Amino acid sequence: MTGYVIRRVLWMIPLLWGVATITFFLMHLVPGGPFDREKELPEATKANLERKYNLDEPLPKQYALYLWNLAQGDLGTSFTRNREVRDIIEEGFPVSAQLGLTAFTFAITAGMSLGVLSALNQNRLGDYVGVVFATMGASLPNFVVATLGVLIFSVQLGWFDVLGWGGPGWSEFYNPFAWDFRKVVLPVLSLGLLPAAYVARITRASMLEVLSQDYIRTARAKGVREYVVVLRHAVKNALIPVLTVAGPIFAILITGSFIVERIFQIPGIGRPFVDAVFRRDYGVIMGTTIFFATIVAFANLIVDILYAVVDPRIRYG
Amino acid sequence: MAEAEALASIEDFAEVAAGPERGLWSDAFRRLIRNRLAMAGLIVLSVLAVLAIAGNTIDWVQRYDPTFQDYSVVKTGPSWDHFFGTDNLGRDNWARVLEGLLISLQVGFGVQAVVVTIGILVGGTAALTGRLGDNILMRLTDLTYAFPDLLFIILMRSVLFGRDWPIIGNERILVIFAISFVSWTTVARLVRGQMLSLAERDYVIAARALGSTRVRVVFQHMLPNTLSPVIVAVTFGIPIAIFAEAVLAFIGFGLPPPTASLGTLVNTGYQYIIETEWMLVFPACAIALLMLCFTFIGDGLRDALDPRWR
Repeated sequence: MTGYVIRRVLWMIPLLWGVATITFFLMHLVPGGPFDREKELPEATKANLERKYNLDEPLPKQYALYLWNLAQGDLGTSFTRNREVRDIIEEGFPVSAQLGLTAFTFAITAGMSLGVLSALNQNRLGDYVGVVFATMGASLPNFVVATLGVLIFSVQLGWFDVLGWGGPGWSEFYNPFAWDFRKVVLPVLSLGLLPAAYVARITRASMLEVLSQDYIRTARAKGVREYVVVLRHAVKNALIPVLTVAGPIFAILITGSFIVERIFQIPGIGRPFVDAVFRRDYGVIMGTTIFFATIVAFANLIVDILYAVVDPRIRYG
Repeated sequence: MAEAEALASIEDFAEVAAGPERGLWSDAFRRLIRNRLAMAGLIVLSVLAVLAIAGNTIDWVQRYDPTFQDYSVVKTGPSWDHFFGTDNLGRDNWARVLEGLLISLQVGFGVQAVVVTIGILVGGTAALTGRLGDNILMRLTDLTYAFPDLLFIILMRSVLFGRDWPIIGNERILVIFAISFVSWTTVARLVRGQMLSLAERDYVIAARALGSTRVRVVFQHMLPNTLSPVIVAVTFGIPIAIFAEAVLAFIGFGLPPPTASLGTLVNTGYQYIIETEWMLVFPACAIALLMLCFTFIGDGLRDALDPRWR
């Protein structure tokens, strides 16, 4: 087990190095530079700018410099805003993370409850409602949910606000009264609906399988109360396949939040990133990509380790 | 319901026992046809596809040029003259939605064509070339998988656009490539896994023992048997690709205007949400409907091709 964890952690290093390398060279393949304007900058200004950001050095040297800085945790500088990428991330990421975490919690709780209820009512009305929701939800893209949600619930019914993020900041994250629900509900639903549907599908399938196992029949036969059978014997075992999708869901939420933040004008990391792409701001693009790749890699690592801990049948191959 | 299922499975069994010999594919086809949701998805999808193709080739279906701006009908609601209303520049929304529908379908199928090619090449090579090749290719797959999808697609799109490409210069093809280069990992892993397990099967060993050439064993015996999971993965991959293109267009990074991709239409519609809700509703519902069809068909195909899943 320990060997497995160590191997998985060590594998992160070449993985992230690979991500950084590919991102670096792709960025330099993009036609046009960050200082191309509609009105040409004077040669001297351009040369000065390029010197400032080391863009005048030969490519291998730029690459080496970039890796060296990265190894020290320096994500680089924005080429157009005269700011550290680190600052941009520190400013936007807490908001994005809060949005993502809320949507994640929603997706897991709503999806699992629905999946369990569906499985317990197999082939009855409740099951059909659950299955229809899971199928529909899995085919509704986040921006469709978001825009149609705004149209119906904000424009027509006037229930929700559509500008900004209503989360309370980390210090009061657990205090429900600090949340501005008029702002929070729509973004979280748009972001969390698809993963919730995904989780519901998987929970239902895995619950159905577990419920048909012998040990469930044994538990019932020896007179264990039904809710104990369901909660302790069934749900606990049905959780394992759900855990495997937690990693991919994390990735869905991160990219999804770029879109949702844009629609609801939430001051997260999504907007500076999209802006940076339009301005060919290599620094920000590379920094953000590597930052998110690291997060996704860590999420997958944690999921894999948890999976090995929860399910003793897994071999640490 | 359970009774009906039991009856159906008895029927299955009886058919298999009594009927003439049937292959995997015709069995799967029968199961697919019996799946009502999948059939509904297939029918709706066919209607949408016919509409999309006719709407971009036949004048009386398209009715208006999707880029033609008629300033006398700016922002008018749905009517017999303009089925889906007109947009902020007086362009016909019906014609534009049909154009977007065609782009979505082209991107969905195009991406999967590239994905299957790369996936089978990479996965097959990894499985067949021994340890070193396998290691290199699979680490490459892991690496591609490690990128957050949308970020990598945006990067690829920036790299591919704005150059003079021979043959593939068409912007739609470039978008297709940008999405494909991110999405081939699932198919590659599937093909590799299948190939590796097939190589140990008795019938493959038998074929080899009988003196079949390596090429024959791979193409005659192994590749066809990897196909059914690949087909399922591709069916589920199509809506993901459609979604990716729509997202790209939605943030203004897809096909350049005046091309009307569904994502672009939803984005413009959202800007005028208070006055002209039809500009948003029709393209948004078109995307949702399209993706729903593929989900139904994918579910049906999976059940049909791999009965263990039921």
